[in-house]
Amino acid sequence: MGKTMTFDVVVMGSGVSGMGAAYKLVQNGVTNIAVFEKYPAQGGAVSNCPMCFCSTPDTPEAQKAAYEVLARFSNYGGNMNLISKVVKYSSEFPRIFLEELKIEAPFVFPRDPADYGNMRGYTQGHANGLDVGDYYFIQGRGQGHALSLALLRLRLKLEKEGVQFFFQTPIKKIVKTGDKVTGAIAYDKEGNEIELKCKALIVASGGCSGNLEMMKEEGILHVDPKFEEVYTDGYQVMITFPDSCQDGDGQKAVWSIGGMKTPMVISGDPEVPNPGVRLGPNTPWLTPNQIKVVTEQPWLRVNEQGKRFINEEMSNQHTAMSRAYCAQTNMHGYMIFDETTVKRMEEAFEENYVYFIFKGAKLTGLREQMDAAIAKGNKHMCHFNTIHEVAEYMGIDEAGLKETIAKYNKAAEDGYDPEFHTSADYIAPVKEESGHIYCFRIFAGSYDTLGGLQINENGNLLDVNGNPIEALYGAGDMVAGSIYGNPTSNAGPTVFGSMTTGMLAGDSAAAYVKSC
Amino acid sequence: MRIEINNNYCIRCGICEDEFPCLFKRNYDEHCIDVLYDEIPAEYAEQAEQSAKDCAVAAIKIVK
Repeated sequence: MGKTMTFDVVVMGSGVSGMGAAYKLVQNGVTNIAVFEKYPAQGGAVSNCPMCFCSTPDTPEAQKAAYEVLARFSNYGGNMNLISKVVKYSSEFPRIFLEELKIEAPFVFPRDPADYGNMRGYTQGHANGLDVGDYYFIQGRGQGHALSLALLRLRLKLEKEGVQFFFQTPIKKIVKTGDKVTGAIAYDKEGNEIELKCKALIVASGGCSGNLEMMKEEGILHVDPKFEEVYTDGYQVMITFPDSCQDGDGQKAVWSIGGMKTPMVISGDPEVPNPGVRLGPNTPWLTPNQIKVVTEQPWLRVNEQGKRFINEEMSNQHTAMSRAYCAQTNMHGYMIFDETTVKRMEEAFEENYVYFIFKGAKLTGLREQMDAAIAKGNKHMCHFNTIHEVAEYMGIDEAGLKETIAKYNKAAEDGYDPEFHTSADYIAPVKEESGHIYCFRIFAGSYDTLGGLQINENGNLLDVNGNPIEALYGAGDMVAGSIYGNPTSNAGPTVFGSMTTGMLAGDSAAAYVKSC
Repeated sequence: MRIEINNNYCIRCGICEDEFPCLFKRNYDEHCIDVLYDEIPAEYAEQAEQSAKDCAVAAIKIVK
C-alpha cells in the first residue's frame, strides 16, 4: 500500500463542474479540500470554454420562465427541483466571473424572459442552458477563450485559499464503508496507489470521449468499424481536446459501488473528420476555415440512403444537428451542394451566410482547401462533376440521392418544402449543370460524452434503486440527464449546467461535512 | 530568443498552434505544447512575440 492522504472533501476532476464545486466548498468555509485531475492541466472543457455564458436573472419572472423552458426541454424527465436550483445558481455567474474573477463583458444582451427558448438557430428546440437568460459575451486575453481564463484565475484563487490540486493523479476507485463513501483510490504519475480518506467525495470527471472501447460498450457509438477511427485522436472530431483523458473513470467507479447507470450519448458539434489537421473549430475566429464555415450553412443534408432527415435551417444549431446525425445509419450524414451555391457564397456572403457566432471571411478557395485535405488522405469530402460520382465515392445510395435531389429542387421551384418545411430562402438546389457537385461527410463531434450517472436535487449521486449514496455527489457532463432528461438530447450542459451542478454539489457536500 | 511555456498556466487550448504552426505543435502523447525550436529563428521573431500576446492565459514567455 502506498501513502494515505486525508481531506474533508475530495473533488474528482478540475473541469468546469469540479471548479464550481471547489468554489462553493471554499465559500462555505470547508478548509481541507483536494482536487484530483488525470490531465496535467485543468481538465474537462477548460481548454475550450466559450466566450459567452448565459445567466438567468434572479427575478421570479425570469427564474420561472427558464425553469419552464428547461422542464419542457427535458420532456419532464429531468429532476424538476434540480432544474430550478440550476437556474438559480446561474444567476451568480455575473458576480463570480465579472466581479470576483475580473473578466470583462463588453457585450451583455438582456433577454425578455418571455422569449427564453425561442431563439432561432443556435438554440431553438434545444434550450441547453444557452437560451434561458441574459447573454454575456466576455473578453479573454489575447485570442483566447474568456471562460478558460476565468477558470484558470479561479484555480489560482482557490489555490491561494488553500485548495490543493493534484494533476496527473487520477482517481480510479471509490471506497464505500457500510452505506457511505469514505474515500477513494488515486494513482500518481508513477502509478503508485494513494489511499484517499474523506468525509465527502464529488465526482466531476466528465465523460468518456477519450475511451473508444467504452463508447462502443455503452452504445454511445454504433457505427461500422471503418468509421470508428474518426473518433480517435488524430481526427479532431472530439473537438475540445482529443487527449482530454476523459476516460469514464468516474462513471465506472460509481457504477462499481452500486451507482445508478443512465444512458450515455455523445454531445454535439458537427464535424468533418480531417485526420491530423485541425479544422479550426477550437478557434473559429482565428482561422475562418472554409470547410467549417460551409458546414454551418443550411444546405441539403442526406443520410447513407440518400434521404433527407431534417429541416436544414437547423444547420448552425449544433446539438440539434448532431442529434439528427446520430439518429442516421452509422451516425453521420452528408452535406451536398453545387457550384452555383459556392459562387453565390463567394460573391455575397453577407446576405447568405449563416455562421457560427461570427461572420466568416468571404468564401474563397473552398475547392483548393478540400483538395489539400484530400491530398493528405481525407476520405470524408469530395467534389465531382456528377451526382453519380459523388454517390459512388461517398457510399450514398445513388437512386435515393437522386430522388431526394429531385424533390429538393422542386421544393425550391415551388417555394414550399412539404417534407421538412425548410424555408425556400435556405434551399440551395443541387444541379449537375452548375458544373460541379461538392460533398462532405459529417459526424456528431463532441466536447464530451454525456450521462451515465444520476443525481437528485441536492447533487447526491443515486444508487441503482434511486436512493442517494451518502457522502457521494456528482456534477457536470456525467449527470447532464438529471437536468435535461434521459437520454439527454445531445445537449452539452455548457457552463450553465456544468458549473451549476458543481456549485450545488459543493454546497451540499459542505453542508454534509459540517453536519458530520 | 527562446519561447518558454509555463505549464502551470497552459490549458493546452492550442491557439498558439492554430496561429503559428511554424512555432508550436500540440503533443497529444505528452499532453503538452511543443515549441519547435530551442532557439527561435530570426525570421519567426515577430510571430513569437505575437504568440505571447495572443496566449489565452499568459503562459507563453519570450526570453531574450
